Amino acid sequence: MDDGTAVAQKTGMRMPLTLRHVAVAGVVVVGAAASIATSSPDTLLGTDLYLPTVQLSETHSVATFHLRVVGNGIVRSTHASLQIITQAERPRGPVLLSARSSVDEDTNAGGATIAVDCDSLPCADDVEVRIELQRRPDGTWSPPSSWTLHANLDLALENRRDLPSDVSIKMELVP
Amino acid sequence: MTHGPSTHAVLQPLALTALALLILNDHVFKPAYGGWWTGKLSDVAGLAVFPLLVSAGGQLIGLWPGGMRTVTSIAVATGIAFVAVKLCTPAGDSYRVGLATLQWPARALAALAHGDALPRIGRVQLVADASDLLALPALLVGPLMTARAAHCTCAHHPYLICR
Repeated sequence: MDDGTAVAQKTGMRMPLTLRHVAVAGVVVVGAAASIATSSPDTLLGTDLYLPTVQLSETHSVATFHLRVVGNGIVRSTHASLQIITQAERPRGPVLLSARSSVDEDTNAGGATIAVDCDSLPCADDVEVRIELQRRPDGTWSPPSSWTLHANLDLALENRRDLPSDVSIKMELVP
Repeated sequence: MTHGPSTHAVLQPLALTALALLILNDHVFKPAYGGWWTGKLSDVAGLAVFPLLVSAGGQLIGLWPGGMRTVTSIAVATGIAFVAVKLCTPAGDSYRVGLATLQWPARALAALAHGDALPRIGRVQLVADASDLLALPALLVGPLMTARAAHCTCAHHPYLICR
């Protein structure tokens, strides 16, 4: 007889200890899940765009794109973020990627994430995206390589469970 | 598992009712009848049961004895965090991102199961309303139930182990 059973018998407890362990563990697990799920995520609206492929080399080491982001509808509290990631054929050299909106900027090697000026709808903002081929650490240039940028725009409608029918976002390349 | 009172208290009808109410309110009442009272109900039910859950969970894995002092400390910490989240924007933002991060694995699994792309972590919804602080007295439920469980008699509470 283990200690738990002895305690149970001495105290006249009706629920066996092992069952009680399981019951407590069950309540704790359900409670943890309920606590985590107590708030719903903001409603998200997303769109993405593949920018034209560019070839970067020692002689043409920089490419710049201009994007126009437009949000339609009437919503008071929103938050928009734009993520730019790079895709390249091998071999790929070191690059520096930068993105700049009217309210934020980010420069990074692998990808850039910025906020876009869209705290309420309707909104519009211009974004400049720049990719620059860098010299290798030994000072040499890598062979020419093709790069494609993937732009992913997310618009969060804060504290809303539904997506109003008139809400939309659009992202386009500006020549 | 030790025989501290918080594992007793968390199985009492009041705690189980608060937990059931939290789940029902978040997933049934809020979508159907969302309004100021559903927000308050979640706060009251959550604050009532949360310190007991944390204390009983910790007691279950041997982190602490799960007595009055433990539950009271957790209730105080919960109250401070609740006030900060409701009144302080950076704390509210941390809560929104933190909870969204905890939710992300489940949302990612659901997206994979449906063949969708992995979702962004994003942020959860939070209504920062100072009147939600009216729910703070619900934090007394945990320590009071723990005190009651510690002094119960088996004749009156047959499902509790009494010391």
